[in-house]
This record gives sequence, C-alpha cells and structure tokens, in this order.
Amino acid sequence: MHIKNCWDFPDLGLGVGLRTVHFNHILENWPKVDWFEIMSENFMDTEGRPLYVLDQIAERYPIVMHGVSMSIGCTDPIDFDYLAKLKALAERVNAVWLGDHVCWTGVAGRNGHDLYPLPYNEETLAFLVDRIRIVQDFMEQPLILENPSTYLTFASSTLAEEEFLARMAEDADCGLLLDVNNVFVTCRNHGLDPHAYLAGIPYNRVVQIHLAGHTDKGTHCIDTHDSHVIDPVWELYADVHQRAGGRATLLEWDDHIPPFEELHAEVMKAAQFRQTTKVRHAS
Amino acid sequence: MPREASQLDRIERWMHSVVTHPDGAKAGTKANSTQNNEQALKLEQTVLPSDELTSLDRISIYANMYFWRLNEVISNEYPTVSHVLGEELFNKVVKNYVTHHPSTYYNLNRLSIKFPLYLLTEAKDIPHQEFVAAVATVERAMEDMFDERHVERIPMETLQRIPDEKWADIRLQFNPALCLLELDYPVNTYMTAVREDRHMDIPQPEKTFVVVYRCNYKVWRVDLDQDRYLLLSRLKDGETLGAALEACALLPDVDIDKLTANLGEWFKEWTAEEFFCGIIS
Repeated sequence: MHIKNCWDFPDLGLGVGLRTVHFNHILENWPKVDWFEIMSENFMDTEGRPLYVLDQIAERYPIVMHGVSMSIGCTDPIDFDYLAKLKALAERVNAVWLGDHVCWTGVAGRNGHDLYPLPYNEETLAFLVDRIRIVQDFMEQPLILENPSTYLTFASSTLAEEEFLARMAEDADCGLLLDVNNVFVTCRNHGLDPHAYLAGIPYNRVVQIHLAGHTDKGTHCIDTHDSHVIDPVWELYADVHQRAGGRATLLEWDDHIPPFEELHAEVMKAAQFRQTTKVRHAS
Repeated sequence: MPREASQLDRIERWMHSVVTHPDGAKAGTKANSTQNNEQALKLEQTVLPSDELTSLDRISIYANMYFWRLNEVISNEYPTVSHVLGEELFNKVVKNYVTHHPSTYYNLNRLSIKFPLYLLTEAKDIPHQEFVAAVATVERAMEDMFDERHVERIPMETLQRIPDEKWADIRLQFNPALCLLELDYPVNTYMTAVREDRHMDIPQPEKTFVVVYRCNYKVWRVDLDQDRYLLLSRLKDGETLGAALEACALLPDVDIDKLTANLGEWFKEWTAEEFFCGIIS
C-alpha cells in the first residue's frame, strides 16, 4: 500500500541526523547519504563553524529541519523571535520541511529543555490546534510534528495518543513525523500495544519517520538515542511501511555517536524493509 | 490568539516546579502542596501510576533528567572549572547555579552566560573561588567567540596599501569574534596544562592578558604581553592608531620604543589571525 501525504512531500529516502562529530568526515568524503536532518537550534544564534559547514552540506544534500524548542504545547505566549530565526534558517538551507515535537519544554518564561508530555484531552487539543495554525501561518508552511517518548500519563487524559495526534493533524492541517522508536518506548511505558497505536495513525499526514535506539531500564524505557535500533522497533518500522509505503526515514543517534560509516550502515538496514514492501506489492 | 487552556496551564506550571526542584520530585510535590492552597495539584491525582512505577517514580524520570542534562551542557562548556573543582563539587555548584539562574531562553547556549559571575559572587563555598571564576571567564569567552557573528577579515594587502603617513589616523574595526581579557591569574597557562593532561598546582595570583578569538572557524586563546594588550584594547575601543600609541606611551610600564619597533610584525600577525575586519577611517 502506498498512501501519499497531503502535501506530496517527497520520500527523501534514508537519511541521518547531522552531528558535529561527523563534520570533517562529511566534508572530506561527501558520503552517499540521501539527506540530512538538522537539529534546528544547533544552527541558530551562532555564526561559527556549524553554520559554515551546514551551508556547504545544504548545497549538496536535501536538508530537513527538526527542532526541540518550539514548545508548541506551552501555555506561554508564542515566541515569534524564535520563529523568525527558525524561518530565516529554513530559507537559508532551503529546508524541505520543518518540524518539532508534540510537547512543551517549559512554562512561565522558564525552559526545562526537555520534551514534556501533554494531557491528551479536548482542552489541550483545541489549544494546540489553534497554536499550530498560528505558527503555520507565520512560517508559511505546514509543521511536521513528532510523537514524543513519554514516561507518564496524566489523569486528565481522555484520548489515546494516536487518536489525539490524528485529530490534531486533521484539525490543524499539519503533518506528522512518526517516530517508531518513540511509539515503542511510549507503549512500553504505558502498557500499550504498539501495533494498535500504529493502526490509529492517519498515514496521509505522515511525512517522515524516525528510528533510534533506546535504553531499557527494566521497569521503563528511556529514549536515549545512544545505540542501535532493536529488532522490535524494526518490526514496527516494517508495519508502518506496510501501512503507508515509502516515507523519508531518518536515524537519530545523539550519544555515544559511532563513526559515520556505522551510523550510515544502521539506517541502511531500513532499505530491506522498504524493498520487502515493494516485492510484496509487485507479487 | 489561541484559546485559553487553564487546566493545561495549571498542569504545566505544577509539573515544571516539581521536575526542577533541587531536592527532587518528591520534595517538589511537597513544596508545591504546602506553598499553595487547597487548589494545588496532588501528585497521585495528576499523574497515573503504571503497572511497574508509582506516580512519583514516573515524574522523577523527568526530574532526574533535568539536572543531568543541564549539568552535561555546563560541564562540556567548562571542562577546566570542572577539573579544578572535581566532579562532585562541580555538579553541586552547577545544580545551585541552575536553581538560582534557570534557563529562560530556548537555546542551551545561553544557559551558562552568568556562570562566571555566579562563581565569583555567589558560590562562596568553593575553594580557589577567584581563580575558578577567572577560568570560567575564559571558558565562557571561548563559547561566546565560537558563536559570534561572522564577518570577513580584511586581507593583508589592504593594510599594506595604506600609505605610511596615514597609519596614525586609521581606526580598525575588530573581528566581533575576538575579546581581550585582563586576568588576575595565569589562567591560559593552567588551561593548557589541563588540556595536555599535565599536572599544575593552582597558580598564585599574577596579572595576565589573554586574547580569545575565532580564526578560520576555530577558537583560540593566546597570552598577550601587556604592551600588546594595552594597544589592542585601545584600538578595539575605537581610538586611532596614533592616539592609542600616544596613550600607551604615557603608561608607566610601557616601553614605547620597543612597542613601535614591533608594530609592523604585530600587525602582520594580527591580520593573519583575522583580528580585523575593516578600516573605519
């Protein structure tokens, strides 16, 4: 099955997150990577080497911007200074699309620099939809918002996360970045069935997929981005691919980052699942 | 404007105060319920337990990550301060700093802007306080110069084309990614020793001068002698070269003959190192 996303954003293929430790390797080798994703804030408020390197990479590869500080679910006023800088960076690198997370990162002018969970209920949904629309109007493009890993459930939640995301995407007319590792982590932490979660996702809204490693603490999982993707997450990726078809897929690796070749080899494992789907479709 | 979300706002304020409490989430929930009134949120009524974790366990995951993450950022920015204080004390100092000066900006690169001043004026119980604060000043400067605006340098040929008789009247525009520091300790020498994994005792007070600057997208810290520091400081303040030299000549410790004799070489070196980005007059 192949479901197009609403905006016809392209399937960019298999990409990796651009990290400082790989700058020299990339500049010296220009590896055969389909695309790079940048953490937007790493290139804002700086005109040092990261931006200099990014300019060169953006000339040769498609760039997708993925932020951690939009705090779209925060009840503070929208930070338009931040959005203006984000927009300027998107124009500078000709970003294919840009996104962030369905979360809040702080409140009352304080920033916790974490992706905090939201209570999934009608009040939050209405508030979030309004904010997304305002931000999209300012940015003049759809936001591609990611399901976060969550470690707690609010008593005031009345909607399942996938239902909340589906309604949010539809009502706000925004896109989704489906992080299958986060689906695994969240479902593990809340005792949910990840395949049932995936069944509730509107794939016409899914523009991009994330893969990553996590840490299993025994009683719960933490989204650490510090290791290989485990087999159950690959199974979820295969499930998504069966449901949606090709989507730009990216591997995140932010701690204990391996050499570039190892990182690239990890994301290339996704090719077999994409190939499998094609074969099935052909038969 | 988005519609109001009063319940959401209440939850966010409550959760943020709990996860950023310096004594942990349990103390955070307790402080929250005693400080406020009967409307204060109660942990068990706000956060559900899972099959394996209590409500407190679950919110503590966020609380533990808060200080761990900010500590990681600041320790990466201040490796020499961390070395001097040792890991345990450094972590304690950072926790106090973050508690008293929480982040108010979306980007983490501003989190520790006040850290050097905090060490000097508020962290009373640390050993070698003035030295540690001086080290932090240099490490902060390196962070700032890393991110500073990029402006193209002026090439050597531009300076070489200036007629001799015009030199006294020129004003130089400095690379914004350059700062001059006057310090009461030999911080640069100490930082180099730590970086090279050589032991060096905490040094005695000694007036030193350091330039921190970005050249070819790398940040450097270099000791300056007093003559060079004074001349560069005056030029950076916008004085003409002639006025800067005259002012330096009046200072008791400056050998003006030596200074003028070295001027040509210094300017070659400074230009090559991207100290200047324009000539104002």
